[in-house]
Amino acid sequence: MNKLHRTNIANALFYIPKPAVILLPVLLRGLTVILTGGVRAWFASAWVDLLFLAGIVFYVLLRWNGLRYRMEEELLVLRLGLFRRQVRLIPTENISAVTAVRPFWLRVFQVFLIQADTPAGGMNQADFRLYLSGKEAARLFQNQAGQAPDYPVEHLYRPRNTNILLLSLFTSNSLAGLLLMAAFIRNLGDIIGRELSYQVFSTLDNIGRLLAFGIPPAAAVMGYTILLGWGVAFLAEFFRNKNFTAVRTSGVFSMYRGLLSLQNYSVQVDKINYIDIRSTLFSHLLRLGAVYLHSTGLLAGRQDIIPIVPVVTRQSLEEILKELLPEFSPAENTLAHNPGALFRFIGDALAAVFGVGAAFWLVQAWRPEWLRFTLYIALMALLPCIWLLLVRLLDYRTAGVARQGDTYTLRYSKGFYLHTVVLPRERIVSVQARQSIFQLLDGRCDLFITTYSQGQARHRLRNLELQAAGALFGLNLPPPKKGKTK
Amino acid sequence: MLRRPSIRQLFIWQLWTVFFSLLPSLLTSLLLAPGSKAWRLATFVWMGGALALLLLYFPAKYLRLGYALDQQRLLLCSGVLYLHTAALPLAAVQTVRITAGPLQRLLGLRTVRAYAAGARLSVPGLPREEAARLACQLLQEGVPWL
Repeated sequence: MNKLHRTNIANALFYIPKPAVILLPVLLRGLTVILTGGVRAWFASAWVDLLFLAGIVFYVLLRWNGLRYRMEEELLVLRLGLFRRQVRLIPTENISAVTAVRPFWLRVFQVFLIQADTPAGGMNQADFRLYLSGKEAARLFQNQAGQAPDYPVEHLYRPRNTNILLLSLFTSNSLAGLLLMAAFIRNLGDIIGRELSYQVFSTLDNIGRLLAFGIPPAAAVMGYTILLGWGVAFLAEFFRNKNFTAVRTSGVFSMYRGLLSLQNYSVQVDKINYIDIRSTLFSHLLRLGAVYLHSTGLLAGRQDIIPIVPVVTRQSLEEILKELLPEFSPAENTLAHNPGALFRFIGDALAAVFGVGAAFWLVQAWRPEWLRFTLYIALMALLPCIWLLLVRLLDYRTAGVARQGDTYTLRYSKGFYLHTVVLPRERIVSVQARQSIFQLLDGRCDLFITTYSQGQARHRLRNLELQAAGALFGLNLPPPKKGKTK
Repeated sequence: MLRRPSIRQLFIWQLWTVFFSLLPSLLTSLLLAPGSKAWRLATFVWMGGALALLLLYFPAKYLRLGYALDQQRLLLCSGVLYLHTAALPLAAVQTVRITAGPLQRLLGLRTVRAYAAGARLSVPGLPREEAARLACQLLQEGVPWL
């Protein structure tokens, strides 16, 4: 085998977290000695701490020394492990995505965190993961692109800061949900501070004593802490998406983003599993949407999905998509559910709404003295249920499937999001038709389409006509029995 | 025709069995009075288990283990109580890993793992050169599965 090269010293960082756990008792010991015996006493026994530290440094360097690699045009080789040695052989043609992240705190080392992933292996970590110099990183991207670096850029898209802001707003752990939670906790403090102390203390002594210790201020602090936490998440998302640029060059789609940590992703277009035009209830009503791209290995641990077009108007979205990824243009529905399928869409949301109402009525009947408290809880619980109901109503209006050549467009909702997924036929791994008793009588089905992914990527279409769906997806279904109504 | 891994792999499994048997032996001698009924029962159990593994399970596992590689697929036969036959199309192989624990390295053996999207096959106990050869063969583009 040809010679393997030693990696940049920055790769030693991979091996620090686990042994660093040992430092915790060492630090605690040192702190205890300083507090009880003073700094001199700690100095006298510091050799113990230094011994631990030396051991950790030795271990980390030993692991780093065993880490070697070689990059050829057709093959990546990675050797790692100390006691259990491992050599990974990764053909470059099997790589789905290459990403490069340049954290700001590593800029002084002039290295990038390079990750190259194939559809095999685990979801949580890329098959090839190293800190490499800029030159090596560029070589890997060039191999991935399979072309000289001076090919002209076909299309370039750079969104405005407003679009980035909106994207960060919508992706920062659900703004509306957190605002709701903050309001809930703040108001709960007002309501229960006086009443619950009296109610619970008289009914359940132990819990009353526990809750009597300053619930209202604590609830307020919790609420503001959550809001602050969301603010930090929002800023982190904004900085992550800042300087967003999408570039299409021949058969390669590349994305660059980041302010403090620079990130670069490169995907071969024929290895894209699907694109997903996502909107929430509000963004859909405002005729806005964002486009996400799914490709195996894109973001290990984040389900391989990344935004490629931040929140823009639907019209601009389609124009941008036509330029950047014309292979993934959504088509109008050719097959949809029947008008009578309303309950199939809103059934569970409606059940949740009535469930909350029934629970309120029951608790109210059991404990009428808790009326204000239970009414408040019921209202807070109703809001997400009604939100889900509205999303499902929108889904009922827009859901369906289309086929244009070898590309499918699926429209459905999942949770609180509406999805328009465009995927090539060859990325479909399986199609499953499921029928309830009522659907059996009707000749209808729910269709589950699984796409190529390291984890499970499943798309659900509700109440389609079974035979038509089978014909659309090439399933050889037996014809319906005579007399079956449609 | 199936190829069998090196007999040294069987020796490694048996060595690990003996090593891990030290733990129940230690616990038995520490926690139970030597010669007592409980001690005799515990000793019978852990010794019986260890001997079953040493003389029955791992030899059977080794005799059942075999692999074959042609232009289309990698075939692996394994199992003791249930016989498993797995086939992995070469065209589906995405990456290959060659691993070696400390004992395997000492005895010049390697384990080759072929990874496909959603599947993997592991061939243990191959001599170093054979492992490298198999890895190279797995990475060559195979004929399509169907």
